[in-house]
Amino acid sequence: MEYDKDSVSRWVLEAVNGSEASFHRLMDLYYKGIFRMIFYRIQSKMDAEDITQEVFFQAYNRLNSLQSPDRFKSWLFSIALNKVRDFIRKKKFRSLFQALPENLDLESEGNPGSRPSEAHEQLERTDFWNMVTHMMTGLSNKEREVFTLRFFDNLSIREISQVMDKGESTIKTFLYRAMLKIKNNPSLQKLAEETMQ
Amino acid sequence: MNSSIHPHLKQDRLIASLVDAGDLSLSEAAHLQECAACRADRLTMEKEFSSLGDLAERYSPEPDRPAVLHFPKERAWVAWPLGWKASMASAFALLLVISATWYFTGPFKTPAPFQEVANGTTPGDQELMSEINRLSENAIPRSYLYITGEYDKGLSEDFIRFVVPLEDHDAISRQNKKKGHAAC
Repeated sequence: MEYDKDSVSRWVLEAVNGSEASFHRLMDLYYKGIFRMIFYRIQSKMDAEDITQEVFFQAYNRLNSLQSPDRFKSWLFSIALNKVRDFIRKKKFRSLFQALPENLDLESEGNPGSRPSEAHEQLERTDFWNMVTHMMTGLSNKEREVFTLRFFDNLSIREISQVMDKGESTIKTFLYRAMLKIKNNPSLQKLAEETMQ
Repeated sequence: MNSSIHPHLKQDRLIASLVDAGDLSLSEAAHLQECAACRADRLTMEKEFSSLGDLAERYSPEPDRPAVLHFPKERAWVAWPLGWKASMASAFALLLVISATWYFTGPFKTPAPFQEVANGTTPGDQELMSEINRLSENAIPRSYLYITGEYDKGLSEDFIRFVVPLEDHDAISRQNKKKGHAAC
């Protein structure tokens, strides 16, 4: 559901003044977006749900530090991005001590007793994310982050610059380089064809 | 401006226009506006990139939990593995046992008041000292003990008779005391 910017700004101001109802409206509005944003990066539904909760909890506690109500969305995404980085860092640290396969949740979500259609969907999902991972392999961390924020999370250049705390021209440069590299990747055409079907 | 004057936009220029349309030069922008082929290429490219977001959304699960803020519990300074009621009862019982042990066991008896400990005297010491003083004041000289027969009071009469037999009962001694009787 789309809301006009004025409503969002009003809810943010009300939430800053202590209105839990307004904060829950904001949460309704951005919950799925933040959840997906986290899931795209960590590929685990359970962890994504936990981190989403943490993001909104932190946002609620630090509403006073928000500079402008117009920046609420990018502010929320920057909190989420930091949480994801923390999670990945901890996961890497833990993986030093235990040999677990990457993307464990994604692989284990398929239930052996599930219906054939579900199993097929699961296979398609795994295929898609493997292709995305392959497509992003040649990108630097910054390029990958900017590209994901632009085309997966549908943020504007200005919002991305606020999330990453970098100038818009820098963001444009990263995005341009990432798009050039990905455009020549055959996986992109394949995925695009799949969408057209 | 005629589109045939300016060559078709290359891939990198089309990408630049997707990043920011303002990045194109005036001639490139004019060509793009007039050239249907370049516009079609740009549109295809735009769809290819935006399709990634659509597919990502399609291949992502929906969150199970509702969009309700669950405040995480603060980590307590004291852990309550049995729940706070059971833990409090256990702590109280433990306190009771320790108090009982303290009260009834010797080493844990209540210590003497501070002042007495500081002076080096306790009620037990005072009692002992008064007994010593009483004995020393009323002491009877040893010779008196011989007279009253209390010096050897601790020894039994049979034991003394065994060690030192009475003369009347000893025949050999009695014979020895007689005149003209030689010892063997």
